[in-house]
Amino acid sequence: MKKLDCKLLVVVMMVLLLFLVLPSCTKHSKAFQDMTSKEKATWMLSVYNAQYDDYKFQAARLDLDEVQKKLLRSKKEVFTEVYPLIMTYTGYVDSGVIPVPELETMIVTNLERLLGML
Amino acid sequence: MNPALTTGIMEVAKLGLQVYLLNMQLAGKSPEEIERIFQTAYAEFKANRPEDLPDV
Repeated sequence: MKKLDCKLLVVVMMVLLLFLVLPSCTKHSKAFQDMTSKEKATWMLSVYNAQYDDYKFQAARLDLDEVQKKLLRSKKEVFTEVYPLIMTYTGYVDSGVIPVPELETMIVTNLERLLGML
Repeated sequence: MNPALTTGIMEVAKLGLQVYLLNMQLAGKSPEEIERIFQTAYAEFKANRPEDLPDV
């Protein structure tokens, strides 16, 4: 428990440091709604890929408790739902077609589920 | 500390950091650079099929 508390403290401090000490770095960053379709697609792909890699890393652990296993199982369901949506969206963008806003909303909602899952 | 709460806090912190870094990756990039990042991420995405994820 001490080891876990230290680890938690380090992670929280790192996140706080980034958000508090580096505000000037966000000067050029864009809000999602201001991004082009290609930038949005890139963001969606990057979030999916990062979460996918995290899932594989977590699933390989031997010390998962039931809370963590349940979280991973829920995440896998979301991956399964969102994969074809992102594939469709990205296909449109790659071929120069502007995707419909409803598809974008569905993807963002699912990615928010993935990102916000506790 | 409650393990569920600890897990939750760590997930939120980790995910906040991931989203921040992803946004910064796209910040101030030219269309050519965005295209390059897009194609790389797309190729990786196509290989990351959910059915290949191990069950827990």
